[in-house]
Amino acid sequence: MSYFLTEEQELMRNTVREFATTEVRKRVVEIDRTNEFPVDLWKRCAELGLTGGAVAEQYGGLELGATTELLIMEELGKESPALALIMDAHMLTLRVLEYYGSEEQKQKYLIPAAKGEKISAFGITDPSGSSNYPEWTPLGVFDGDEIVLNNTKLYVTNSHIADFYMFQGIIDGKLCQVLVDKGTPGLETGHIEDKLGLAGTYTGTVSLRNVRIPRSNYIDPAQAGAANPNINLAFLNISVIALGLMEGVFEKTRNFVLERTRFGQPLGSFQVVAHHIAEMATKIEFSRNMIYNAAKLFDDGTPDVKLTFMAKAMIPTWSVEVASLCVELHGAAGYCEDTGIARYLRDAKGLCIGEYPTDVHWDFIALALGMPIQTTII
Amino acid sequence: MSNIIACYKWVADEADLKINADLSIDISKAKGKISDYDKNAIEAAVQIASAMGGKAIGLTFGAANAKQSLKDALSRGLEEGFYINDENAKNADGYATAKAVAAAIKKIEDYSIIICAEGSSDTFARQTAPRIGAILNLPVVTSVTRIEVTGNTLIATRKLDDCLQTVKTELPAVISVLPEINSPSIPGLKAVLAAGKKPMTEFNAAGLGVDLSPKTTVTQFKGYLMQRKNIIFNEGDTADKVNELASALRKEGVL
Repeated sequence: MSYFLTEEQELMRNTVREFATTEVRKRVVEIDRTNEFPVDLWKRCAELGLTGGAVAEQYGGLELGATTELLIMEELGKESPALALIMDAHMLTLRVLEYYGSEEQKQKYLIPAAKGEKISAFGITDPSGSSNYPEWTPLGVFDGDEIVLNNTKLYVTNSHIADFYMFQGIIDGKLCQVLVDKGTPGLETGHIEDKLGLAGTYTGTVSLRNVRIPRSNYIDPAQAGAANPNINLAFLNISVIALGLMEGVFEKTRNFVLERTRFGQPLGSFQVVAHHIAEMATKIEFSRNMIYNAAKLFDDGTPDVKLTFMAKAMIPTWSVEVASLCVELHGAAGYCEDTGIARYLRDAKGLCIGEYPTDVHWDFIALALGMPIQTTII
Repeated sequence: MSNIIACYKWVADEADLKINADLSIDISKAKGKISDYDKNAIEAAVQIASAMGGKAIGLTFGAANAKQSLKDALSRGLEEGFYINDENAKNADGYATAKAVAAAIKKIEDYSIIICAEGSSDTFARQTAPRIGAILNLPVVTSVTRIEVTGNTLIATRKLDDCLQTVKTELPAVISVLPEINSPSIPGLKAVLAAGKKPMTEFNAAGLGVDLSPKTTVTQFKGYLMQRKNIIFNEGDTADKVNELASALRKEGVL
């Protein structure tokens, strides 16, 4: 892949790899077992410039571009898809702030968030569903210079660690976002969800009961004119975490089948196993090509958002298939948690669901292809 | 304090090496990297410069592909990079390497401490530091795990086979450090981006006025395979099996 990476991009990827394989690797088992947010790793990510690398320099970022941002997420995903997802959720807030936020909002929220001094959470999912906008209950109402929020958001990533929240919802009939500081009266967090995988990413319910925020915390994406296609980078972000996950578990499995013997021969010398390895490597290579081709189009200013839907529809699904096969190739050892292989499978399933489930992306793709399907997606 | 020079080597990443069936080693697919131990040398130079003043600079001797190491090295806190570009580096031994590096150091002129790793992560020949010291007629301290600089004096702790030795020497001096001396910091992305803007100077053998032909010739470079003996001790009771195992391990020279 290196043929189209710049020297800086390769170096940055290697730097994040060094961080992931030294500092992150030794923490993943504990994070998985305790389900505790890795504050120490977040701080290190901030120190290394990973928390807002894609944001413009004037707002505390490094203006790295889509390709570099994805390279960072891929390297984190190899070792800890959970840490990568924490970053992904944070980046989602930053992107909306950067493209649609007011200057005041950028100064107050974007800059400290890009520097990693503040952690953000983005609450989207209504109890009626994440992509079911027509049935969403209103987020709140305008009241003079204030907005009064009354709503509940489910499955909010970074819910119990965030310094501020961005909530997406309907106010006055329009889809919008609002910013709410932690500790604002009426904002309460429920319990931390016990998930199948991606432990350490605090996923929880956030309730808003008569929460009053200044109207200056309101974000109207429509005010910015046309939607910024870069918002869709979120779909590539989660796809690239799935790619990293596949690479991480595949490499361990490839080594395993070369070392583990059966009837005096390496497992990998049996054709059925060798073909599994070949097939998994092919899925990884297809994924890599898909993601970085789409990223290059973004960096070149000619984005094709359809590719982001395609990547999200296919790559997390493949990551489940690859991780599942890797568990089987490890046998009982793969099914036991101590080898760390099973964790990849549990984590992979979550990537199919985050940033809209796979089936919703089939809808997006069909719509992009002009199919006259019935959909509630707006 | 004047320049503190960290010497480093751009080596093939051992993770990419492939051992062929005839035990020959294929490095054609291997990517390059700064030798692992040299990261300790770079970190030591940066720490000394930060604590005592002076400028931490990097110096490497390599073929054309080693040029890409400069940004990596500079991202790790060095302020300036020097690169001796010569194809002889591909077959260089300790003699040629030290000759090249010493010649470049003479050009740099203003230096107080020259820091090498104890050995490189490819051949670990441990030749460079002592030879640089010999060529430049400087004191050499090897196997260093701790350094303290006071004025013009360097106090170093050396880790020997069975003891720690503290030595004192006047600067300038050459030291070779062990990995225990520090934990190399991982550069932030901002430092990576800033590295390209730092000054870099390229030398070649002709410019340095040295012949870099090696004194030694590598006749063979082979991998090794770990082969299991598959011996099972299953006769007698547990004590017998343990005794048999211990005897076998003694016979192999393991115990």
